[in-house]
Amino acid sequence: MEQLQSPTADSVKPSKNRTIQNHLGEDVAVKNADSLLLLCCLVSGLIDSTIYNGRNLSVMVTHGSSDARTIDQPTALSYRCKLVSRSLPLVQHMLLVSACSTPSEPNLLKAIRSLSDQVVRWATIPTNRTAGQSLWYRLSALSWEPLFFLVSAAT
Amino acid sequence: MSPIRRGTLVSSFLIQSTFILVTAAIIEAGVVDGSSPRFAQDIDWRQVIPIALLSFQSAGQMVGSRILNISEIPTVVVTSVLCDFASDPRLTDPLRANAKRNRRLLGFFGILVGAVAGGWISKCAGQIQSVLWLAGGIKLLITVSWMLWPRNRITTE
Repeated sequence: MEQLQSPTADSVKPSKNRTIQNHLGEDVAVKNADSLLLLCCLVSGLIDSTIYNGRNLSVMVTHGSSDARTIDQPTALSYRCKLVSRSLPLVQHMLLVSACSTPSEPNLLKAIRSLSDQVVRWATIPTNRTAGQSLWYRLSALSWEPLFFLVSAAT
Repeated sequence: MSPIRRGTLVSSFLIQSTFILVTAAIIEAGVVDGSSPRFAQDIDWRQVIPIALLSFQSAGQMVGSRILNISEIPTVVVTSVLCDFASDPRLTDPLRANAKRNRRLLGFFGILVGAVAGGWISKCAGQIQSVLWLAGGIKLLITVSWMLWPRNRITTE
């Protein structure tokens, strides 16, 4: 006949750890997760306006360079190409932010970044749209930011 | 290993909030000048420390939106959000019929409200660390929310 043993401290501790491990190991529900991302938008606005106010540069809110739309296109890119193209905008973003932190012609660097973003955007028009939608998309992709930054750099 | 695992999201957002709080602490401690506005003529490489930390954590935030498959709110991009909003063929759909459009609009207003609030706080306080403490606190709150977030009950075989 088996004897029932009372749970000792040694046997309780691992089960607690296992519970935490299980809790951290499970997938979260994506439903309503957008509310947390909206809070992240608020954080982006807070940080970026503050840094821009003090240092005249943008550290978070970019103008399309880090948009992963370029990756999600229905193209025949290999996984490695996708990985590189996914990483490059982030590296570019970080390098340019560091470069912009120097007082020498920050507006010009912003202009270059913004222009390169527009080129990327122009080149990655979704192929599954109709001609009318594509034209509207192209028109709305054009922004006046590069011109604005170039003018402010020139002056 | 699933990207939407609770542990992955909690650790990712914990790192992000740590980076913001470390930045705030660096400025608070006086390692980097936190007066606002400050446009120095000479190059001070210590200024790069908070910029690099904040920039790095912003990348983590964007990846978070991708792995949750809510790519319409990249959280760090304004132009593409507005562009997608304006070029949405279902722009004029009823309120509940187009969730992506609603998210884009709310995301844009989130950044706008944050920017206005951050600008005013830093202007009134004359320093940038107070906003960073606030932003770090909100990020920490998001981290705790991930810890308590309901689990996914749909299992894939």
